[in-house]
Amino acid sequence: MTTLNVNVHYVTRVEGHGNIVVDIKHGEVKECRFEVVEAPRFFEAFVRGRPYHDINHIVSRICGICSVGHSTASTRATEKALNVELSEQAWLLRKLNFHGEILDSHVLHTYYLVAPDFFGVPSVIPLVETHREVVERALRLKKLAGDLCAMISGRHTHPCALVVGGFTHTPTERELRAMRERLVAARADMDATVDLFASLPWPQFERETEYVSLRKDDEYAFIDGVIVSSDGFTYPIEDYRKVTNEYLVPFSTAKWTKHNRESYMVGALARFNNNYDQLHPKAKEAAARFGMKPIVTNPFLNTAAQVVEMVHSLEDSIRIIDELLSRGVREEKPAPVKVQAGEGVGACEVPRGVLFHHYVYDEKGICVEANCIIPTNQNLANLNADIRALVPQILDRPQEEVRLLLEMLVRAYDPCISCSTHFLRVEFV
Amino acid sequence: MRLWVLPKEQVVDMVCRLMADYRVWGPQAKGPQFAFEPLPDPTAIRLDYNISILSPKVALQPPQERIAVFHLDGGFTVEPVIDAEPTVIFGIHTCDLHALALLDKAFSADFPDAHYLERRQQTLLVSLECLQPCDEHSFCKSMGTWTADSGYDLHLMDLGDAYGVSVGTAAGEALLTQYAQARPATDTEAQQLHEARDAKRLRFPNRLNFDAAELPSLLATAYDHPIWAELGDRCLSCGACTNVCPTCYCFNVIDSPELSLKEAVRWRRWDSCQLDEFARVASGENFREARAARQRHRMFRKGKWLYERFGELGCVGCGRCIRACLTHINIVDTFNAIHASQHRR
Amino acid sequence: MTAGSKKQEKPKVAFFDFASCEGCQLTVVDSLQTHLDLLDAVEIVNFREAATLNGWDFDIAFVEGSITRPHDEERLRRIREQAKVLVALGACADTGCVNALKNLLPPEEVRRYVYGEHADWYETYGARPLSAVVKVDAVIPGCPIDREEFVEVVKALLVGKRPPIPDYPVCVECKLKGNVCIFHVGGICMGPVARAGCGAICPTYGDGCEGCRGIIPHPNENAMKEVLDEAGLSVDDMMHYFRMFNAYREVGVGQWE
Repeated sequence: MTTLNVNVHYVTRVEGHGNIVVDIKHGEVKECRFEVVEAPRFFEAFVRGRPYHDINHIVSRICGICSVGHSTASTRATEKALNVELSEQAWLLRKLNFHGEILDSHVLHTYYLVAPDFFGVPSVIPLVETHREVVERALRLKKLAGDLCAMISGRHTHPCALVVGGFTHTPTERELRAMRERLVAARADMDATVDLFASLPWPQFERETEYVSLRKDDEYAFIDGVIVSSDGFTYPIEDYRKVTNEYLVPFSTAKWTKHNRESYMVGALARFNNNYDQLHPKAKEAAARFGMKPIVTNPFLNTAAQVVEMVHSLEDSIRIIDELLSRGVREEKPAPVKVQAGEGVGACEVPRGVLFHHYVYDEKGICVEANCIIPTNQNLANLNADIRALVPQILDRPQEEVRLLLEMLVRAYDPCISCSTHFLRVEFV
Repeated sequence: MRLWVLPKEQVVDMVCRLMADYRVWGPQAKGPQFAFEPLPDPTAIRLDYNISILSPKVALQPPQERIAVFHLDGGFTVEPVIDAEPTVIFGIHTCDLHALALLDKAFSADFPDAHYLERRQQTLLVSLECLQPCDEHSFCKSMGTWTADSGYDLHLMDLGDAYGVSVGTAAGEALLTQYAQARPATDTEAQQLHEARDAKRLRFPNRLNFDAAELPSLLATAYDHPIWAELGDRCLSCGACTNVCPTCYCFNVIDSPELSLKEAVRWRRWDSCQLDEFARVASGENFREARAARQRHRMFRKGKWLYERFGELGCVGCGRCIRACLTHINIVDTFNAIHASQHRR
Repeated sequence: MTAGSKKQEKPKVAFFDFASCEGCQLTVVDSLQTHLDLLDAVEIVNFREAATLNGWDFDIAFVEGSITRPHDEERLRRIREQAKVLVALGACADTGCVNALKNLLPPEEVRRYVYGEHADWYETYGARPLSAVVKVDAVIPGCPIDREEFVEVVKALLVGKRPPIPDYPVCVECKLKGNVCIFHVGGICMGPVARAGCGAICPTYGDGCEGCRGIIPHPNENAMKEVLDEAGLSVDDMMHYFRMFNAYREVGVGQWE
């Protein structure tokens, strides 16, 4: 087939509004792109003029799925700007809360958004009838992840207690012990999750790609660290602009990002490729079930990398709770803040990849400059490069299959379009 | 009345034994304050507390409870839900003990309330004499609730290393003999106890400038007093005063169907006369629309109307409403101001 | 309430969104964890975030998000025409939420700050709640919505009752939980004037209420300002608190059209 017209208006089962447009006439590619049509919200503009303690609660509202990530990146930026030191206990709780978010978001993406494609159904709902145990397992794991977040910061979407300097609430040892029991019991569900996803027929597609993520010396990095690229570059977080190199695309309203090549990828697969050595042994076992070892260049396996990370986050959560309990938990207030002028960059590996928040505060602690760079934005150029590489390989297939594969590719990136457009409106023309 | 002595170090042991057979409520630390809650473990009890955020009424009239289930599948049946279990409320200050006695009357009058009364039936009260006023807001002495001679099953009084224990009921005595290793008080200890009670009299101030027994007649002349408008201007209508009050017992009833529409649950939860919608009726009419009228209503309940119904004043002088009010509406100052103005006239 | 054997057809339900974080729809998805029977009670015909379904034959539309572009209005009106009941899902749809913070600022400056010299490429106008454009039959307040409250609203719609959204302030639920008052530990809280229904979750977790569920119908704003003044807030600080989630209530679309 040399003529192909795929027009997916509002790709479903992704967060936000995006379209796929492929137009090929007589073998000539006229158009081939992923468009983002989400409404702009101007967060960067309107956080200016507001006091430092409001910022993380406002920017949390960028995204309902990764609001713990935005809150964490935001508080880290402010903490660096105002020289606020977190206690060891607060650090452990930040990490534990973050694992809760990784688990929550990855369960959502793998089970609710991706799995229906493999079962040939439009959503997870019909599976309630046909594969009830799968749905119930997904619901159990999602509830566990949400409850883990809620135990620490009140709720998963828009955490209440996660503030500059730590937390306004401390979970009790009793709650931590109960949560530990549930996490241990969830290993069975996690094994079943690996079994399920390792058995799926993942589409075959390879494209050499530069992978960008955070890295830390002592652990699989989710919060802080340095920026690394699979092409061998390392930067301090403060130099994030050297990596993201935002640029304008002709006739486009979007700033894209590129580093060493035309595009780069962030997210679970990038973290897996760059930090495989630091994964929990059980997570490495899970990776082996997918036949995955760095460097993996099939973007469809981003979802598999998420499954591997779920295993890691579950195991590391148990370890962190053990550490908290052996230290003894004390009720703690957030570290005091001395209001002053300052500038700081916070970086986290949110579920979809590396996220940067950058603020400047005046001497009254009022935000005067703000910049945020969202993983989905960083991935858009790479996703489009993948689409352009994939389409010629599958041109001979029926149009519906092409459409499904392209949708699956978009979903594999787990785009969070609400996030990406809360700062920039992105359109590909 | 026999007096016993319970060494302080044995309190936790007693609570521990009680917890095997009873749900035990007691004062516990909550941040910098204290809360009356079921004890998660016996060592959590804090008998050195000053005052709890909510009164121990939460154990007998929970903020929210299921009171009935409706079955709508193939007919209509109603099943009452009575949620009661053997309970001990441990460490009740005497102001709150007096408040529980008033609640007993309120829930027994007219239509006896099975939910409250069944719980009350299964509940034993262990009270605790205060030797110091909890803070500048308490006025228990003015309201005559700063001590108690009845209303409890057991009553504790701090004697330094031990508690002197007065037995109020046979059930209380059984509790003491089965769950604690108390010994009968010596004559010296009994004397010590009486002395401690006498000594405390001087430490508690009278904050009302007149005899509380005059309150009903005083308020009878104050319905149109200008002070209500002042309070209305300040009142946030947040309901904090009534929700922390140990004698407020108003509740709302809410029906909620299950998603299947085959069952429904009737809930009740605390309500407050201070809220906008409290006195709004089906037609949309609100017969206490002004905040001033709502504050007046509260003060009249405490100082007049409950007395007329139950023969007891509705205020026990715990001071919780004063502490809770962010705009400093103060029931003692209000009563004193009315008294002063009537006096001047 | 219709009881007994009469079999009723399940209402068809659709979910749509405008400018928002989609956290409220995510909360809807999460409500299945404890209420899987929601799927027996209603038929979902359109839910882009969670399903490849795009039916336009629906009875109840839950709409998340604020209206921020003139062309959003057209889509919202189409939804309104089709829906027997239109429910504003969450603060963005109900009050404008933080989207309306931009309304406090001069439009040209805001657009230039984000888009630089290409500011005029982007269609945008003052953020507004759904009710500024169409008739809204019911609201589920909050940022995000409360999961249990969502289920209660569905139940109310199933039996044709007005959804039970409280008009009283957060303080009520906070007291019922026996919390330490945030003001008593040196904090700031909008609880006395903010709409309840969240179970006072923020104060329960030690952080002051920010009023994400909107302001109650008859707040005593003067008294509240005195409380905030006593807590040490300047007039500017007070405005930050009143406007964080309620900028639209305070200024409408401001200088934006």
